[in-house]
Amino acid sequence: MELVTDILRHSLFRLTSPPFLLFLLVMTVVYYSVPKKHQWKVLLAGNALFIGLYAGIMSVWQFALPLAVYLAASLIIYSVPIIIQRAGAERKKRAALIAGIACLSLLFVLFRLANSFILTINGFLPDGWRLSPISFSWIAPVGIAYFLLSGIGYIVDVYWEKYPAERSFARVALIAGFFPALVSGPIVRYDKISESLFTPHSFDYQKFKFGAERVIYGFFKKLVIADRASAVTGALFGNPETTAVPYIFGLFLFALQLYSDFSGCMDIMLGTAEILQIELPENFRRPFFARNLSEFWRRWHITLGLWAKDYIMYPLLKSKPFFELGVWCRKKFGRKLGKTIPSYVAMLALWIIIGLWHGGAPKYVFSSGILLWITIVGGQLLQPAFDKLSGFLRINRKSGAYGIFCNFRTLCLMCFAWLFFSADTLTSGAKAFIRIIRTFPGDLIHIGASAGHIIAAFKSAGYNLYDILILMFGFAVLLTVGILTEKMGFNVRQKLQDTNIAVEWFVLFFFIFFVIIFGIYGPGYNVADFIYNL
Amino acid sequence: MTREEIFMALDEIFQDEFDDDAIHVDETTTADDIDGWDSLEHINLIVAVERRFGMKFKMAEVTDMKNVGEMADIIAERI
Amino acid sequence: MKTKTGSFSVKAKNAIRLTCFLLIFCVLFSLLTFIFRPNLAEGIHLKQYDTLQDNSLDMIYIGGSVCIVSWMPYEAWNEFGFTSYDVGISSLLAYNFQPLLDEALKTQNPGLIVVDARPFYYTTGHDYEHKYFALVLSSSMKQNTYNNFKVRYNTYKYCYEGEDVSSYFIDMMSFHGSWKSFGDQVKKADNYRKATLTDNPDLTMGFLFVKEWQKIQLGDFSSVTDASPLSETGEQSLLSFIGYLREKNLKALFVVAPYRETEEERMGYNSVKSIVEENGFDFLNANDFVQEMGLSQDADFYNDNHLNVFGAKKYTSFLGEYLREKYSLADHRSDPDYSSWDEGFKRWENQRAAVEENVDALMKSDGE
Repeated sequence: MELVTDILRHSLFRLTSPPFLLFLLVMTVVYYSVPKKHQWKVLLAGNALFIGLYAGIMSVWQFALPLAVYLAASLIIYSVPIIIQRAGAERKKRAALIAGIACLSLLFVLFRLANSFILTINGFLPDGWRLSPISFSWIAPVGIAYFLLSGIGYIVDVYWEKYPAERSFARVALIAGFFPALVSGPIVRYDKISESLFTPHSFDYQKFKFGAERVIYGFFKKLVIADRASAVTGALFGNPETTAVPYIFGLFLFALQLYSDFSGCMDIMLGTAEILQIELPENFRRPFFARNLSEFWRRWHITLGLWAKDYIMYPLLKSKPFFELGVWCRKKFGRKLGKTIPSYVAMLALWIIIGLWHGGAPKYVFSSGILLWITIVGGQLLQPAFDKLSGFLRINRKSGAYGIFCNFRTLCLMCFAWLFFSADTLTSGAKAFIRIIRTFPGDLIHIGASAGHIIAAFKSAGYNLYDILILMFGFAVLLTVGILTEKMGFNVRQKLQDTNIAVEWFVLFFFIFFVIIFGIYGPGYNVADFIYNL
Repeated sequence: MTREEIFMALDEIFQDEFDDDAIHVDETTTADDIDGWDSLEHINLIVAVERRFGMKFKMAEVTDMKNVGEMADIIAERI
Repeated sequence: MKTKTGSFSVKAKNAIRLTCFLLIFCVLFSLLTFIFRPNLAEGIHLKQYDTLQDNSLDMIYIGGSVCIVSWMPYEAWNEFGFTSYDVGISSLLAYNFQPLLDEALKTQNPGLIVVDARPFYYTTGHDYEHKYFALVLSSSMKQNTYNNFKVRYNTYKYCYEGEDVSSYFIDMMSFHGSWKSFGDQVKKADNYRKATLTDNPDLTMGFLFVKEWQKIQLGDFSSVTDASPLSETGEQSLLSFIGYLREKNLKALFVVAPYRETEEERMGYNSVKSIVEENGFDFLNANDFVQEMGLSQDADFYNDNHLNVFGAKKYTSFLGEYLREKYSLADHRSDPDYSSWDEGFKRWENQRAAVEENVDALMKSDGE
């Protein structure tokens, strides 16, 4: 027993590790073995176990604190809606609402932004006055950012009388900290998720298989593509002398990396939920098929966009100040602008909040906030000009080529935003941007040298030609699955099942062992490092 | 206000919002029926309707309404 | 006959499908693990140990890379008639001596254990190389034994630096990166598979030939008698290993083979010496007998830490004589039961001659 606890004392878990798979296996077996009315309690225990294992059981503090935060946040999320419901006067309801949102936000600000805030102001403080960043890394397992938004959504929904508050604390705690949605979302709606969380489920082989396939696909995206690309982008971005073409290549690679990482994580988590027959909302819908930035954000991190629309955009636009603003704009600028100006202002507020939610540092507020607002609003304002231009150039808007142009344009705009997102700070991002502009002509002339720099980045990460081929293969898989699903409406897993079992199993084994062999994980021992073999 | 009058006023609002004088809404009209009625237009419509009829929709109703008929029901209730 | 979804035959079909899938996975996974494991020569030697006739060894020399390149069991057979085996792996960690020896004692009952003493001093700085070879060890030993688990667990306990814990127990996690040299891996795996075939010409009784040479500078610290304390890990593992030896009623000689010693290290070995002798076992620092052995710092080493193929012969002659006098190890040269050793020696001697030629050429081309 001492051996077991000794091993468990170190942090056991990363999402793409064997212990997580073991955890998933145990959860599945227990979940489908207990009497159906106790199934959701197994999930609740799973939440606590997940947080504990993710945080590490090295010392009591390591797992006790995140669990305590989980408990405290669940308590707030549980009690505030009940208070709101019970309160008679509108004034009291409102006060409870504000208190609830304030407490949760305080929790968020404290942990998520504290460090960024400290680092930023440290830049302005003289030596000796600087604050030391608080180590809140242990809070990561609780996924405070996602927890927060889902919880606020629930409190507000009850305030709006969309549905009655949940009376059972245990049930609220289960929803609030549902482990597949804990680490990177999706942001859930309490009423929607309750539909499947609390209904009994019998083991369904089909759903188990589809869920497992999705998990495998997620592992493929994360371990084979994302983790492989990250060493290269790190080398390219981290080198202060990287010139235009390699840097731009790095940005496109970063797009692939970020998408694979984030959506891969979603695949693992949604696949897990599918195995347990719990429905979680999708967070990605082939985002790079979007034709403009607005559409992109309806396909990328979907639940964030929906949450922002329902809980920021709509309440703002429906509120008195915005109403008055609309009236005033109508008078001053006419009907059209009377409508668009308030929505642009509301959008600005929305994007600033989203930027802050991504992280407190200026680079997040800019790259995941203000910059996106500028691009979306700019795109809309310039729409008439684009229409005239494409008419003048006789561009067929319906052609496939134009569609691909739009996709590429959207990708470029997001890469531009990701330049700042991936930089260390806003200033270093700006410097990189200036460097790109300055060195672009030179790079085009000496295209060979630029290519050389890109290859050097791959080499410095320890990669060879095969790694490049693997990345290309990964990209090809993503593209194929994307096209099949988007353009031809295929359900890839269903299609795979509809072929015969030999083909299905071949594909599954191929991907499973592709991940095991070519995934970037483990200590990475290279036999060639060790000499004196016969 | 009669139901007919409500729908006439709604026609005006929709035609105004979508810049299309040919739009006519009835009991079963939904967002799928009108080009450009996306989530942003939806809230603009709501605000415009509130302004025109001098009433307020509850937030819960804003997303729950299934068609223009339901919208008219709520309007009729509130004015 | 109607069948509903969820009916027994559908459930049974699914259960069978799932089981078959998992079985195929396990088979493929095992095959891949077999190919991707390091399958180094030292690992092959550990596997060949199992082909020996039970209870035919009189001495086991256990230790790190020093042990497997310094003591030549077939040379000892030729000169003294001893039956011995080098049970070792590079960078053997102090706390892994016991499980390794325990595993070896399952099929043999030597009366004497010669222990490479250096790892008990070098217990800090568990770097990449130590971890790697510890994993090579556990992947080369018999799997699914308690001793194998113990080696992995010990390695994890003392070397863990924040990587995935499972990599200490699931070899594919550590070694899947070998896909980059897949061709070599297949060859090595094949060697490993062939290792235990009868009349294997590569049977060396655990000795590892190294075709290298380097001039070094030997020091002389025989007059240093001060002792510096060992690290906590070192002392604990030493005492625990000594306890094990006593439990098994074995005689043991802790040896430091000749190499470029420093004064600091000598003081550490003096600590090992006092602990070992206090507990009734024997200690020998062979650096004190470099003259007797006739070792030349210009010709008998291949790096600061190891004897080369020429130096090993001298060392084996010296130590063999020492063991014969002190422990009266048996001479089996005229025993017909041990004739396979004669044949084995002849084959091994050809190998050695080839290596000696190699190293000789290296020395000559250096303008020696």
